[in-house]
Amino acid sequence: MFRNFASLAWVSAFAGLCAWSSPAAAGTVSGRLELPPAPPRPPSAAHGFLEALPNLLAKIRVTDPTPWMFVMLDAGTPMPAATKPVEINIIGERFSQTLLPLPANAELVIKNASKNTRFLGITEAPQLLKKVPLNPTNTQSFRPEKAGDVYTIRDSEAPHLSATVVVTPSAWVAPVSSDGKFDFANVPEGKYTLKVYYKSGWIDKADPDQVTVGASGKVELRSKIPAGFPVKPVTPGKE
Amino acid sequence: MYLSKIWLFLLTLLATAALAVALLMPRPAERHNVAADQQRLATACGFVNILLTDQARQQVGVAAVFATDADLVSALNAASNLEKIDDATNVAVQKIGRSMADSLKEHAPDFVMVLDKHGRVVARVTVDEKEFGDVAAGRPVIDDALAGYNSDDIWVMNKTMYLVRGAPVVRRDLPVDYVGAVILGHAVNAKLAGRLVGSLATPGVETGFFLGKDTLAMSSATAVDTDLLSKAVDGLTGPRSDDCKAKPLKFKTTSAAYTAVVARLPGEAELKHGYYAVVLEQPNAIGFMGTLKAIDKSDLAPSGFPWSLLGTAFAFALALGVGLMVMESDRPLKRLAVDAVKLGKGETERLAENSHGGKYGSIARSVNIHIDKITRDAKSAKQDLDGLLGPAPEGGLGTIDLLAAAMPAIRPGGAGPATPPPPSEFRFSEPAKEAPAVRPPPPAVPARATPAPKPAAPTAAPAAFAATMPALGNSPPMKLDDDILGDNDAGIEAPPAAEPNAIDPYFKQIFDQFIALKKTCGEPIAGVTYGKFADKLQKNRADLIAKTGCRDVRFTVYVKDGKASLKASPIRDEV
Repeated sequence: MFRNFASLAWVSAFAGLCAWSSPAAAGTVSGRLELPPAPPRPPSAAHGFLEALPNLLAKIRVTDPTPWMFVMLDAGTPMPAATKPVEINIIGERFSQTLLPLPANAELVIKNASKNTRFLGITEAPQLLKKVPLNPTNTQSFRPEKAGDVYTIRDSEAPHLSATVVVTPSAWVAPVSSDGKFDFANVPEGKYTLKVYYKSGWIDKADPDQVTVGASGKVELRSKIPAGFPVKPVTPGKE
Repeated sequence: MYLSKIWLFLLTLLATAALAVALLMPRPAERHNVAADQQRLATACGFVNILLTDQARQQVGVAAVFATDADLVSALNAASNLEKIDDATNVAVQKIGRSMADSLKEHAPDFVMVLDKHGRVVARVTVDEKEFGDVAAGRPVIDDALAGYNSDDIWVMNKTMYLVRGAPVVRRDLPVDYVGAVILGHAVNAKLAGRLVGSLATPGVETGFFLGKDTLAMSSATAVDTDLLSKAVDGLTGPRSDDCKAKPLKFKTTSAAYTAVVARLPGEAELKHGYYAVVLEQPNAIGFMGTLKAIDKSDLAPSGFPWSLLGTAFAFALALGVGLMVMESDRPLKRLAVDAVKLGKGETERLAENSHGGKYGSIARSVNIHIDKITRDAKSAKQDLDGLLGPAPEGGLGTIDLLAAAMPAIRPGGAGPATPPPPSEFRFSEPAKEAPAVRPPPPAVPARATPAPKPAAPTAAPAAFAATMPALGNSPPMKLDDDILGDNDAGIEAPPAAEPNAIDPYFKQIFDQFIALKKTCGEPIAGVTYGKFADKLQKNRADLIAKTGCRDVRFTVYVKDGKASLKASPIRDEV
């Protein structure tokens, strides 16, 4: 159910993007990522006096990589200026998305849906976000400038509360469900390359997945993620 | 004296060295104490970390046991399938949680948080009990518990620090699955700090927990300089395990000085600048006097203190010092004193210079030089007087006697005592010593106006006259006699002079005695007139008074070389 809640957040985040970028002639791209076996979830790096100890009653849950993934259709050409903002919520002690793609020039709106006042900051570019308390139900926003930048939004009073924002050159980005499925709607006609972002960089594939979208219709796509989720680390500002 | 000086130098050097050692001795000990205190602090700091880790392990175990409660598993399994946590579920789970917390008694947590498998808070116990349904997932300890890990963390909520333990709640019925997590929180308070200090078994050590410059809990009421501690924490950049090995901090309060070691707390607290400190009051610098005061009987017990060695060293030093003093000072001084007494007694005329060494020989030489000078001066004075008054009659007072009478008169400040200075027996010569014994009581000085009774005329014979001499001495022993006429009797006769208008009875008496003595000696008296005789005496008296400063002059007739002679003796003031 919680997973569904996150998916709803994704949907709300990308609904604006899709509506903004819907051309007259557009198709739909659906696909599924063939994910390799996920490793058991490692314990958090932050801990108290003890290293986290696995319980003896059940196997440790495997890592679900999909909250740390999104896919993008890259046309290789500059995208039009974005006008619709992208929203991310603070729910309880976490962000609605751990990893958020943000088209370049789109505004990111952060809404505090938790019960506590937050003191947010961007680690990599502190100047982008005003250092003001973000009270419950209030919002705070910023607009990144360059595609390829990666920002970490963090609450200085709650270090565990953080999210990663990846500024993408394309507006066609979509989340990946826990079973690896994704969907792009209203994709303009043209040729695209499907890129998969995981945690800290783009998945490094020997044969990139090429997609040709027609004026209408639906394109089915299957992409296999290499074992170990190899990625090319993102160089901030270069995309 | 040379050896005595060396010995004194060595003793002074030794005493100075001993004093320096005494003053310096406490310092290494104090340094050692400081180093020992620092080691104690580092040990205590590390031990606090061990205690906290051990406590975390125990409480994680408690949380794990807590999470195995069948009712709780069942309730969370149901809650995880709910779209929204309802009140009934909240109340039911809260009841279970409270019951279990109460069963832990003194180890009961200060808060309990029960979450479903999605990270939603199903129920809270003790803290914010009315709040539920919010998503608490995201905090590492909760995420770890939901993933299947038993873990711990340190949270800070509302200026209170909590030691938080998390455990997954597992449904053991097939299919085995995670249905939620249990989070237990124990507040960091003075009670915990006191319990930690009690476990340290290190006297004087206090501990406290801090968040930046805020003191959250302290085992005692010790005021801590949190600014200093906070800055020190900022400077800790290495592994947390090395924090306790850092250089201790020193700070003072109004009442005491302290040494402290700080160590970062792990987990979320570290990111929020949380740390703990171990504080130890610095011992006062005891110094030399403090060391003396710290001495007790056991330190002075013969078994623990080398009294015999110390006594031997003292006796040796004393004996050597006394020996050198006797050898180089007392004995030479005694020898010199003996010589001086001999000199005083007249047994020797000079001090034996060669028998005295060093400074004493120099003193003897100086005394001898002065004796020589006095002798020379006396001879010179006598020669001068002889030249003035003529030679003293045979058997008259010697040179020394003359000087004995003359010296007091020239002393500064007036006349000196009639007797020589101490030792009272001291005399420069025997005649001077015996002079007072034979001196007749001082007769009345024959004054011009009221001349004293004239002595009986010693004109019968020279011997008879000589026998009367002491009787004539009505003046002090210092007599200055001279033959004022000598062979110039004719001189008396030669210048004819007019008879004085008034005859001086004294001069007339002397004249008569002189004529009588001349007759006795068979000398002619023709031409000897009283007037000339009186003029001669008058002139002679005036000259003598002018030259010697005497009060008056007494004239005496006597026989010299078979002839009658006349001598003049100055009469001084009686002392």
